[in-house]
Amino acid sequence: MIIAKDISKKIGKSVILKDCNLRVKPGCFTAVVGPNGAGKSSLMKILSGEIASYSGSIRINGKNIHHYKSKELSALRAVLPQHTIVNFPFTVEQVIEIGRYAHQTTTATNQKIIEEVLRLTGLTDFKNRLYQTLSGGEKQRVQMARVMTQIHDFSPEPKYLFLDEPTSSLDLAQQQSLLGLAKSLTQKNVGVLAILHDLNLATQFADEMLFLKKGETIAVGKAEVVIKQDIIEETFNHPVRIINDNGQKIIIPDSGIQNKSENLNAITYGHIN
Amino acid sequence: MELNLKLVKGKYAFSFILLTGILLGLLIISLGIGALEITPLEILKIFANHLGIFETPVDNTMELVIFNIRLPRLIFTMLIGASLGLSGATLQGLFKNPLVEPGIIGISSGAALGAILVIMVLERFFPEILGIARQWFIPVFAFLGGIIATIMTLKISQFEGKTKVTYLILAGVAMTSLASAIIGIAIFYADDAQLRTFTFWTLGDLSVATWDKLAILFPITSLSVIVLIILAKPLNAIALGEAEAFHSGVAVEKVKFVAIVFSALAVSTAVAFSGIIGFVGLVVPHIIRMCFNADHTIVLPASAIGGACLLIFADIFARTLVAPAELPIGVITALIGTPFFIYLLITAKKKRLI
Repeated sequence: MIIAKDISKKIGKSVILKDCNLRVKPGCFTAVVGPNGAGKSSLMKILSGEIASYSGSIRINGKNIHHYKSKELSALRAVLPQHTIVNFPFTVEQVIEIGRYAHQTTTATNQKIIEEVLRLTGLTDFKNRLYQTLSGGEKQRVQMARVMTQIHDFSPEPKYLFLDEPTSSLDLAQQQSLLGLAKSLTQKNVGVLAILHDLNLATQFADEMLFLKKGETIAVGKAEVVIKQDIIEETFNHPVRIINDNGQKIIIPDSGIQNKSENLNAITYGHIN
Repeated sequence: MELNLKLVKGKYAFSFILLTGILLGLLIISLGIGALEITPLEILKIFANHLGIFETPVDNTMELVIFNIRLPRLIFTMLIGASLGLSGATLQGLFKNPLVEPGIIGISSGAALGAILVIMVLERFFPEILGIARQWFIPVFAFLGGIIATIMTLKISQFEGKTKVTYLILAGVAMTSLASAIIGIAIFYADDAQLRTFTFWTLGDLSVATWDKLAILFPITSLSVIVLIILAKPLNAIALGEAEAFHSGVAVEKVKFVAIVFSALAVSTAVAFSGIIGFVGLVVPHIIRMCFNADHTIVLPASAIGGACLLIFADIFARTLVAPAELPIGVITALIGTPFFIYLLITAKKKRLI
């Protein structure tokens, strides 16, 4: 388990994160939601070890994050970025192979893991294609395969996968398939932490959720407990409705169109009068 | 799967066998060509005789030409070509940008400036300090000039801890112009005995090779080549982005530091001895990537061999086309390299490789 305790971060006088407490459990999909500037990315960078200046403590599998060497840490947790640009003609397989950098495993073992991940992600036929020639969705799937390769291991230790707004350049089917892959990893003792912009994707996949606003925690806990109208409205400063479709909650933000058309009518009438 | 592994290894071996073959061919041609033509058979005989493998009567003049003139120049050219090709490949990988080359980020002109300052200032005012250490002073100051120019370029182009490539290239252009201007002033005040012509520094010259210079060039170049080639795997990860490389377990800052210092060392030393030879560092890594693979475990060593091949090839023309005079080597590298590069650009564009 990753236990983050009282994480605070300031840049100059502005507060980026304030006393954030979060647990990323193996076997669990945790979603972080909140408006832009809520501190979601900073939190993820702190948890991944990318940002080292903050207050509070982080323990991964019982050990303080600072006591891990960077290669040890990388064998435990992988990070899928929003999108990755590669300026050189790497093949899909070469990109995926980078996931094994931190491991001391043999070439044959690595090859076996890569084949397995290629199969799981449906990329077997793509392995000799050049990364640059792929579409946005395909590229993201290759990156997913790379991070899966990174945390693929035979040890019983729990692993973690962080996803930083992974679906922002994907279409509907690609979003479902990518998050579906991430969700399937939770059955293999992986803890998933995902920053998601789309609340409905979050409610669909998350077991636990963290609502952040201007660095402060609005709510944290089991998804079915924290997905509430007042919590969402407070977090995003926007009115929403929640409807229940066969047990799945669907969040509909108020579009304000009703009001606008009333205003428009008023203006029109005003003009005529 | 086994087959696949074999294929990968086969491709790897193939690229090196091919390149080494080309290099060996060029070595023999280069030793044989010149005012005195020497056939490959005679070259073999001379070497066999010299190494004591078997005794055979050889032409003394030929032996002298080979061991005193052509061989040192050939090794010199090979080492400088390898330095330029490998540093180009390393820096392109490090900055994730195919436009970067040692000349563009200021290493070359900084190094030239350092070397010129030693010759101008130290030699004029403190000749006693120089003494026998002169041979070493020039590469040391060239290295200092190269590394200072590089660090300044990097500092200017850094923004919130990240290197922006647009700024990097602009800052490099600025550093290069500044260094060139100072070199221009230095040359203006120099007398003929102190400095060779402006051409030496701007277009390079390989005719200055001697065994003494090789004694310095060889260890520095070998060290840089070994260190840089070790960086291949982390450079593959950095090609995805610095954050991605960090998450994969790469000590990014350490790799960056080592890559820059040893690229600067290799290029500065090359510049100190042969002036600025452009184009090799830019074009060779591209040719390698397009012909073989973008994997740095192939690109780095292959760029070293490829750089040596290109420079030896260019040098053959430089010293034979207008014999007994010589064309500046930089002119030839550009003349040979550019059309080939343009051809590759057009085909790569069609395949959407760039």
